[in-house]
Amino acid sequence: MKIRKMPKTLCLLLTVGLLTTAMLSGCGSKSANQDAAKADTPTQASTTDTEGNQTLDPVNLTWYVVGTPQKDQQLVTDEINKILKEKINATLTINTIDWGAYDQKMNVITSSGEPYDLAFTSSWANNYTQNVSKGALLPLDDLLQKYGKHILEQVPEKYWPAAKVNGKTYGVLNYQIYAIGRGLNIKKDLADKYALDTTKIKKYADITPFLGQVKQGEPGITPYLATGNITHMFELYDNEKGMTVDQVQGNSVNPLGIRTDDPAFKVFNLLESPEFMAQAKMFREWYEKGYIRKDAAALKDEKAEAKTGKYVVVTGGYGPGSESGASTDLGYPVVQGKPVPQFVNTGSVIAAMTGINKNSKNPERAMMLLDLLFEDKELYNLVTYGIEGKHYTKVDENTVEIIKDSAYNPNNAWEFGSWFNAYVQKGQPADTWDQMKKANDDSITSPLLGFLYNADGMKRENAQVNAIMNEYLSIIYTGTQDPEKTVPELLKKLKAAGIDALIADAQKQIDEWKAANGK
Amino acid sequence: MSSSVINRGFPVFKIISHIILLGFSLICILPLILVVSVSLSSEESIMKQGYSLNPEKIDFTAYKFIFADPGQLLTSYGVTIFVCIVGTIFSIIITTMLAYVMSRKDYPYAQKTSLYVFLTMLVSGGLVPWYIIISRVLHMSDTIWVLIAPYLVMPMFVLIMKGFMSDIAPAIIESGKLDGASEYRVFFSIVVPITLPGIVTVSLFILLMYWNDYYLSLMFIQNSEYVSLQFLLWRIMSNADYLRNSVAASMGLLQGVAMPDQSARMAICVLAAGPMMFIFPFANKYFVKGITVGSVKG
Repeated sequence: MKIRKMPKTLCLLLTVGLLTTAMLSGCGSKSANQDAAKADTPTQASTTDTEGNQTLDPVNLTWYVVGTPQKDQQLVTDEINKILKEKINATLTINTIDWGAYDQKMNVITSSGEPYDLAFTSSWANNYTQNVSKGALLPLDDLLQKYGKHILEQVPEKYWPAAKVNGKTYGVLNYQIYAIGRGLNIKKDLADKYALDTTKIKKYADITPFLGQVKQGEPGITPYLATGNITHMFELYDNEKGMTVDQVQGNSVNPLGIRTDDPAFKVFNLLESPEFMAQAKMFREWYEKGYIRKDAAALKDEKAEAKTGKYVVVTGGYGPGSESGASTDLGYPVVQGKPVPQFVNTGSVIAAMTGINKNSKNPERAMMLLDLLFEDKELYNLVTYGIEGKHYTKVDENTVEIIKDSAYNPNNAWEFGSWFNAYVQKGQPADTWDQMKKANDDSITSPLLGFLYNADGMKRENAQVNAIMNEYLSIIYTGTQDPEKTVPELLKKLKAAGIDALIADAQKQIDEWKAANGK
Repeated sequence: MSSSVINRGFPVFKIISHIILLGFSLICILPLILVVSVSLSSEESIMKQGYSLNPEKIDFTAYKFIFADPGQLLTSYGVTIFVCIVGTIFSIIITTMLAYVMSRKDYPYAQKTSLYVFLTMLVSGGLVPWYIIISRVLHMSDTIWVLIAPYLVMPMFVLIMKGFMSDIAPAIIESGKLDGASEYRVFFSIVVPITLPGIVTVSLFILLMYWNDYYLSLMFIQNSEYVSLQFLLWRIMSNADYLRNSVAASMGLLQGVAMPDQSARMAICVLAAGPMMFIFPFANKYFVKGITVGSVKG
């Protein structure tokens, strides 16, 4: 009787509730809707004409970048839009997503088919190759030829193969430092005390005598910091001979490698090379002589350990400005040695790229915007440093000082076009960008540039090999056990994990890549 | 000397049990004190001496780091408090009503409704469809409501609530009806007061869920006006982590920035958990009752 009526009343109540929620949310998202509507306006008719700006229809471009959202973003964007309006009749919405959230969020945004225009993509965030295989990015070769004049002019041709997947370019390379360098950060006071000449350090073993001096003269301090936290293999070459071997999977723990003087690029296990055994023995020697802590393999947090200042030599990056960078980071002054030559590989080139979304309504305009960032210094610095007087002050023509605690300091200049368009910051040498370009030019380019190993078919083997390597490298690189015993054991385990199949697979991929690229 | 201690009838057992209880409460309290004191230590002393209960020097660096933008922090507290209050009220109303209907044995679709609610616990549409519906169909991204609406009905809580409701004897409802009460009158005047402990318990669960949530902000919020507290804190921490450890940093793309690490983590703990610790004791009375409500009573 009355109970029968109950569901109806409840239904009504729920419906009303739902409607109210929908209405409320509708009100709130008004601006978002308008934006979407704006972006949706069709513009195909106009884009054929590149000469006269007047004929371009107004469009709004959405750009996803990774970084810390800035308070004054809107203010800066308004200024940017003034320039863009005049030059390419477009407006820009920059959506900054947090470092930790970027991968996850971009994944969902891409999967949901949102029609954004540009997005930061790279080897380490919003993964480039995955995006390409998902079909999320537009092939850009034609667009680059048509609208990307300044981009092609500035980014040297030799780096473009790195961005190619199956012969097509899916991302615009941001011009930044491509060279990876390995450095030894040496405590400055002790380096001075023992008159260490860092220019004489040509390979890792060259630091050994200095470690010995420290061990002798400085009780209570550990000469070399080794930890069980291994992120990549130590390079197996040095400054004297140049790059003799290279890793197939970039710098990782994966032991697959090739010899660079071998035109066939025969893949083999780097652990079987005499170079590896020699290196392992060096670490063993350091361990036995007490240069490395006895419990080193159990240490996990390398950065935290380094900061304690209880070590004299710690490893780090090397490049222009890295010495002062490391000093700030570690909290004490260091001098740097360079045990291996700087090198460029696929991963380091595609560390910063901008892709154009397949669902973008205005890919032409997006490319024009990218080109403009390479061309227009004023625009680029506006994006990078914000508004003069409000967010930075100019010290001289090319140097700026960032106003402390200002509401715009995204610190992600390398995400927009060419980093070398930026003003240098106070404290940086005036020729920072030239130094970086020089470092790029001087560094050794991996013969495998452009090749990216695809582990999809060998996921299990690859994961197993890497896990075993992680486990054993922490023993070998800390010298905890005799490599004569450990390395054969490791090789046996890798065999059982299927490294031979992995080698065969890598060989196949390299052969195919070679054939496709005419190497 | 000791003869006075081993007095006849002296409650040795009492002393032992007190010591055990004291030890137990220390185990509970010490970590909290440790969190607070580590958050007040300097990064340097943590590196050198490890965690210590008694920081040698009180140092507010970690709090300064987090409070670098007090406006944003206040906004976020505001957002979270608003979401907690409004969300909990709406959610508990809907949850209670839904559970009540499901618990009524004379409602023919009670079983089916229960099954429907229960099924959503087992199967879901997945992340991407969920995202598409909320952001592109309902257009709720970047509104305050997106932080509330998706959690309005949690099947788990509905089922717990239903458990409370099922204890009500049908005779009570019947008697109310015999006296001429409408369904609403029965619900609000009889059912709600009887299940109040249950309602408070579930409310607390819901409150905690809204308080602790950062995921909705992560997925749907761009505008810093609607960033919730937990997401803000999570963001501060994850950004700091990223800047320290990322590949980008090792490639020299980022400049070296000095940031407190361990102490900042603890300071974030204090800020995130603090307010809830004050709410718990007040709800405690109901909470205990709520837990035991299902059991047999004399």
